[in-house]
Amino acid sequence: MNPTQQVDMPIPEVPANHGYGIGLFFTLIFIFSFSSTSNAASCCGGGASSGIILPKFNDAMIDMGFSNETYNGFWTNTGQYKDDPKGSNLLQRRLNVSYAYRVADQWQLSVGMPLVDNQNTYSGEQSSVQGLGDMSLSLWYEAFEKVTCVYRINGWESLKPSIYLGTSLTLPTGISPYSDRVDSSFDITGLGFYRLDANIIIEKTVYPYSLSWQGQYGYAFERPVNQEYGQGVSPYNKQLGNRNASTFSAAYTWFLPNLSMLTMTASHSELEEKSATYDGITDTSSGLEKTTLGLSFAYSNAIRDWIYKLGISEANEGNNIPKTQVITMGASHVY
Amino acid sequence: MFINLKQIAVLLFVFCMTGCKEDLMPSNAPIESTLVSREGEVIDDLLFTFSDGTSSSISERLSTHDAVVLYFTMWCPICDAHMSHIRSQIQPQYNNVDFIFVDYVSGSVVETMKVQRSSGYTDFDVIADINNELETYFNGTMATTIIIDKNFIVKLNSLFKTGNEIKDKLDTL
Repeated sequence: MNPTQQVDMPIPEVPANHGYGIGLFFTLIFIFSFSSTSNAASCCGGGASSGIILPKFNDAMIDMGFSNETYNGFWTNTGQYKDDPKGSNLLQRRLNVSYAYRVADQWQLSVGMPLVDNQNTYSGEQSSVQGLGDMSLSLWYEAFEKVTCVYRINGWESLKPSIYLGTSLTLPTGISPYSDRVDSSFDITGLGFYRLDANIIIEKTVYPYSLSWQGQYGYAFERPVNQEYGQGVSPYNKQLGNRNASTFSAAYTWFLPNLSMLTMTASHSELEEKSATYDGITDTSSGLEKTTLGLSFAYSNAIRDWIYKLGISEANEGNNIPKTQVITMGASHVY
Repeated sequence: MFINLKQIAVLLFVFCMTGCKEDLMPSNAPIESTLVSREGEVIDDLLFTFSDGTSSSISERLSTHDAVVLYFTMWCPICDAHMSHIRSQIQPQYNNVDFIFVDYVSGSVVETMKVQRSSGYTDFDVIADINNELETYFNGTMATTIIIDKNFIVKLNSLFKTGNEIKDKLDTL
């Protein structure tokens, strides 16, 4: 069992700002939201873009993470990179509090609650907004009964990977452009849409190496809109496009003299969101793509009940989305 | 099995209590808003200040055009996508309509011109909304789109959607 593999690896989010505005830039995080983080999965625990994952033999876990996302220009819908206006300084900080609970031998439930702090200087405008982001509720099934991490390969049986199958529901608890408590695009902390994701994680650890792949497909439910930034409008229906995300990660673990462990994980993530529709009509200027590279470290104490994490990720390619860098740090406690 | 229904109930309760009702239970019923849309209203003959330092009023713009379209931009990726769509898909079909972008974030003529050039929109007139007068007047924010007809009536006051809403309104003029 290797709890240190609870390494959070960032994957692209949307936007925030996918919706619309600096706040929406931000929301891309849970963007708006694939959650801003994804992890090297582990037979012994790990995170997922849609929530945290509990180690196999633990009953509960609480996770607190802080992330700092800076914005540096954006890619147009043709993939051309453009700088932000001179003098712009866009920053979103997030405090993510998550709790995972084992409800049965191979089933676990988790909830994530992000608190968002938007700090923007955008040309002549400055703003500072704090609020709850979009929360998520996840259910995971562990498609294996025994830990599959091994120290050496002894036949085909030892090659069996850990497979997690999950679903997550994102709730529009943040401040969206359609909320009744917002009057500017700088105020946004959520997308305003329910989204249901299907998730899969396949991971194999042969110490000290680990490889994993995480796939995600998200369906955003259509919703009626009768106000925009607090201003009543003729009602219409809007639906965000479906999302695909894929993250490959590779990890190496060092076993330290005091029996603690240090794991380094590198990841490559791709995110795509299809075009949104308004009353069934496609908005051809919407949709996005983003590729992100990440590196993170996780330290686990000798008892394996505390894990401390530090990571950085940066978008290196995209369409119709801001270029961002995310630095994350946090701690998990299992019991 | 160690299902703890109490803890699950607490989690669901937190979900229900923390969110915005309008988003958690969205409605398509028309609402009474504290912010008044200008749509349908006859507006004042506003004076625009452009990124090249010149000024002109709505009446002057309408003396040579059938309508004025204002799009509020903060030069973000979504704005860029919308402006690119207006340039390639809408403006060519409405030669007698005056399409103007409103920079409500730069705060000065000089900065507006700089970002207009760096963003590649020198083929459009861009308003420098220096004191946020238009932003306040139209309750504008990112992607707010305004259509003003010959009679100074606001025919559209909403966020940009697919661009068809602009064409639909312009077709009725």
